[in-house]
Amino acid sequence: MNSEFTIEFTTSPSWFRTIRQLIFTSSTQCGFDTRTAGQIAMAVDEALCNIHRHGYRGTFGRATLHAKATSKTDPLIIIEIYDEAKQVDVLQIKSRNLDEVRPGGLGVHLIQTVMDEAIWTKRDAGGMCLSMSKTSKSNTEHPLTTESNMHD
Amino acid sequence: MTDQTLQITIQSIQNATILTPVGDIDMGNSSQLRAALKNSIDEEPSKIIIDFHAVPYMDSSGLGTLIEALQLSNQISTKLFLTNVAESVMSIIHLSKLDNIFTICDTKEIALAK
Repeated sequence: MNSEFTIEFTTSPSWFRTIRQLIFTSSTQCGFDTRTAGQIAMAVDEALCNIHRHGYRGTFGRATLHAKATSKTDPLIIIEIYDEAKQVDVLQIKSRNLDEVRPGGLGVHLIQTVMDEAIWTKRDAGGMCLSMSKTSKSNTEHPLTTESNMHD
Repeated sequence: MTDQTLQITIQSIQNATILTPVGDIDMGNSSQLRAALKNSIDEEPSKIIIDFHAVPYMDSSGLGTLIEALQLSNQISTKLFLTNVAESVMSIIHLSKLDNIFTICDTKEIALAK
């Protein structure tokens, strides 16, 4: 089932839960399996958290999300997120070294790992735009681990 | 908008503290889990078990909270266990390449027996 929607919202974490549910539903309805749909919703959530935390520095700003999910051949979802926050150098948006075990800085890594494409651009009108897409041909495989040991 | 409150049940069994959060753990409420874990670690139990059976989703702020708790618990030789982790939560742990730093058990009973 195809779907397309645009939502304008305040960059409050209380909105992010609603938006990831929308993305999950759109993703499953166009044919993604629930695991992939959950990962796509997570990538969107991480992008929104970054806008709130870094773009608006924890204050509430405005953002617009446009999503288009289709299933003509394989499932495909295209998501664009626009904000009016402080512009950043797109070359500075990158994943950190995962060998460092520390909190923070995982959002960009998760977005880039889950999505086929994630492109940040500066908007002429101010703010940033993140364009992301995902098809079903590129599932992010991960073997489930039920028991793993650590450090001791 | 949705309610962001995270309910956390805390039990003490055999010198272990079991925390059971209920609901999504995300940017809006991970500070509640952080505070509960900090309080539990301050009491220096031999084990802290976080039972995820009622957590369908966790974002990177929740994951960061777990990393902080692991680092704090290591300092006082308290063992930290994650149990009943749903596939959706396991997904972010794996994608962040952190599945080998946590001790993850199927059930809290298995964690208690370790």
